[in-house]
Parts: sequence; structure tokens; C-alpha cells
Amino acid sequence: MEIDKIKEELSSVSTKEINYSELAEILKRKKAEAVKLSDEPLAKEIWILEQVCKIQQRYLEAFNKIKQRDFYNAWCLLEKAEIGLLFLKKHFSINENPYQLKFINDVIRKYQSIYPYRLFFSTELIEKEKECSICGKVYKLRDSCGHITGEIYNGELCLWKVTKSELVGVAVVENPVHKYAVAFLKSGEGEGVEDNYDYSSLEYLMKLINQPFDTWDIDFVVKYVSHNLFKTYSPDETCPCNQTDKTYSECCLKEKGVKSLFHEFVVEKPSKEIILPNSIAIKLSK
Amino acid sequence: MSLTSKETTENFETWLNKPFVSAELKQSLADASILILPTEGFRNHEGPLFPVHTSELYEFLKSKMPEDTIIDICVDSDNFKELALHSDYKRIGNFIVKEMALPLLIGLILLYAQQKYFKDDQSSSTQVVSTTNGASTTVNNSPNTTVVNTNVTVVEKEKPVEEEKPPVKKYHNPPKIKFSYTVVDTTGACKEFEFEGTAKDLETVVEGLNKLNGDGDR
Ligand SMILES: [Zn+2]
Ligand SMILES: [Zn+2]
Repeated sequence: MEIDKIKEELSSVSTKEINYSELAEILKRKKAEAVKLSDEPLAKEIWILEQVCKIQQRYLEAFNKIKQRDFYNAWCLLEKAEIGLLFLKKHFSINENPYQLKFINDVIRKYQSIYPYRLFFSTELIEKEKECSICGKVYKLRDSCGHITGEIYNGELCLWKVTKSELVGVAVVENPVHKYAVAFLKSGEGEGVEDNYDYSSLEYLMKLINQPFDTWDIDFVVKYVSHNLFKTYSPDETCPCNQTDKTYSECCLKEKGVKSLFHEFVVEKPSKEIILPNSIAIKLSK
Repeated sequence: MSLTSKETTENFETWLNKPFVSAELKQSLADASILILPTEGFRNHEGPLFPVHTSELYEFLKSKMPEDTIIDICVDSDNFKELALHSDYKRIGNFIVKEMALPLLIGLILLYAQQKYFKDDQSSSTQVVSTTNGASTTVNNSPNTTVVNTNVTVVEKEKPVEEEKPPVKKYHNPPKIKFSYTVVDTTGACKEFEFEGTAKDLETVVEGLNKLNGDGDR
């Protein structure tokens, strides 16, 4: 298969199924040939296509996992696709391209914003030794190998591999380096963890959309819920809006109701019309 | 954004006399206009540490500096270690800089941060950072990226009346960067500055510095 044919194939991701392992094989072979001929630009072009494959594949897999309600693994795949995009963007504009990358880029963010995760673990690490992924040389200050991280050499991405490090701490943060480090509750004595997160918004969305490239959008709306529903809360308790450390009387009790966050979905081709409690379905004016 | 300043007695001399700077290194650092500084005493760790990606920043700055401006790192090569902390802020680092090289340094930090952390930012601009010795460097942002989702513009929807500014997830906040620098003027007086903010904020600082420079020329 020629490069142009592969590009065509990757462009049709939203309409047909792509055999990624076959493509990966071909690209690997072609890259080896390009490197042999010292054809740097071609090797780089192939790296870009490999990256496109990975991003599409991870996104599609993530979508299926969300459909199957395997939410945490889907979350991790979305992050992998996000990281892939981050590396790719340095070398390839995703704005006007046929591979649906702009769509994937935007939709990942939208999915992430309706996930219930809020707290993450983040490690604090002293990096004592690292080596270049291209030449294997250990980094030495004032005597660098000259390879630049994030650049492509012989069709490979240059990265640092940390070879010696010391863990000095773990922090719980809202804005982590690695999104996969979600804080879960430990269940009982065993190894296992419990997933007590509320995925109802995602579940609701999944009832509305069928295909990974269906168009949808989300808005966040703050609505005021009647104080009558929060009668069990004393004015001195932490406010039931969960958005502050203030007490009920200092926060929402002053308002016309308790502030609640609603997800508002806009879908182009809604598959069914199911309205869950606590959701607002917006009809589209066509 | 915040840009705070305070008086300090720390100067180049203070740093060159640190135990992690050998006599040999001290000599070669003597002509430097900019030094990247470590922090000392993180938790139980003794000795100097630099924020993660310092080596990248150092190689970047070195490659962009005009020949007459020397930048180096204030530590012996064998003692160089990086500390990776959680990322509410992107820590760029601490610097000590001669007044003359300051606009160049800040301009290059902006360029570095834009390329590394703010690629997705909507802001896009080209700025020329000029230095007092007449050299200039162009700070050029990547092509404009539109964040508006064109796929859904056909859809019209009614917004509920009771609406407030939607909250966002913390991990979707625009990245903020943090760095500090001590400026040494020609009389030897030192002042320490600390910056915290987004790319836009830093652009404002660069503009301000350029203006100052312009006034100085007149
Ligand atoms: Zn290398
Ligand atoms: Zn409240």
C-alpha cells in the first residue's frame, strides 16, 4: 500500500472500519526503508501517520469502553490519545486535516469535563539520571548529545527516559501531571479499589449518541435548586452546593436556592429521548 | 497574575560561592550574564535541585542567546538533578540576571513557555523583544488555533434564564507558569522579582519591559 492510499484510509475513519495493525505493519516497513535511504522528511511523514493511527485507535477504543461503561479505562485511553495529540501538534497542524484529529482533540476535552473525577495523585520525584531515547546517551550538563526532546530523528520521537530517580512524596491535587492517577477509595482490606464515582452524566450522554464521530456539545449551567430539598442541612454545616468551604448560611442560603451544576447536552442526531432525573434535555430547533 | 518584587542582598557573588560550585566552575561562570539557580533544601533532600525540564530550558536558552550573552547553570555538572512536582504551576526556574540581559531573558522565557505549555492557547501574537545592546529576537507564536467548535454552530438552543459563568475542571484551566529572577543593575544593586501567571500575563510583562527599554533610549 502506498503512502497516499494510507492517508486516504485514515481520512475515512468516521465512515469505515480501519485495520490499524495492518497499517502499522506497512508503516513500520516503509519507515525502515526511508531510514535506510536517509530520507529524513519521509521518515518524519511516516511517524506522523503512525501517530495519527495511534490517536484514532485510542479514541475509538475509549469510545467503545465508555459505551461498555468501563469508564476508568476509557479515561486512561482518552489521556493517551491526548498525549499523542500533544506530541503530534508540534509537527502537524490538526486544524485543517482530514483525519478527524480536531474533532478528537475537542471531544476528549468534552468527555473529560463531564467525568466525575476531581482529585488525583501526583508524585514528587527527584530525577537523578536520564537518557536520550534516540542515542541512549546519559544526559550530562554542558555536554549534551544535541538531540532535542519532542523532535523527530529518523522517524522516532526524542524523549527523555528517566533511569534513576527518587520518590520524595505523593501529593493529592486537582490538576495532575498524569490524569490516570485518579483517587479511588480502597475497599476493605484487600488490594481492590472501589469505583464510587457517579457517572450518570456520561451514561446519559451515551444514550443520546451512537457513533464515535457523532457531533455533540456540552454546556455547564448553574441552576438554583429549592431550599426545600435541603431541609436536613443546618445553616452551620458546609454548604450542600459542594463548591465552597463556607457554611450553608454564608453561601447558598443567601441565594434563591442551592447552586447546582447541570450538564446541558446538545446533540445533532439524538438516538433516543430519555430524560433522567436531574437532567435537562434540550430540543434542537431544526 | 502577579509580579512581586523585593529587595535582596543576593548577587552573583553569593551564588558563585555556594558549595556546589567548584573553583573551576566558578571561574567559567564569572562572565555569565544569566545564571539558572537551584533551590536548596527541599524536604529532606540536601543539596541543589532544579525544576523538571531545566535541562531543556537551558539548551533552549543557550541556542537562542546572542554570542556576547553567556548563560549557564549554577551547579557542577555531576550535581545536576531535577525535581518533578505536581503541576498546578509550571515551574520554569529561578534566575539571576544582569540588567542588560533581562529583556532578552524574559522574552525567551515567554517563547519557551508558549512553545511548551501554551500551544493550545487562543492567544497568538508576534512580538519583538529588543535588548539594550540592539540585538533583537522575535517571539513568534504558533499559527492561530480556533477553539470554537464549528461542528455545532448550526444548532440553536435556548439557554435557561438562570445562568452563571460555568465552572471548569481544574485540569482544564489554562496553564500558569512561575519563575523568579534577581536583577543586578550596573551599580550592583539587586532586586528580586517573582512572576506567576498565564502566557497572556507574561506578554504584558514583556510589553512593559520593551516600553521601559524604549524610554531609556530616548
Ligand atoms: Zn541523543
Ligand atoms: Zn453554596
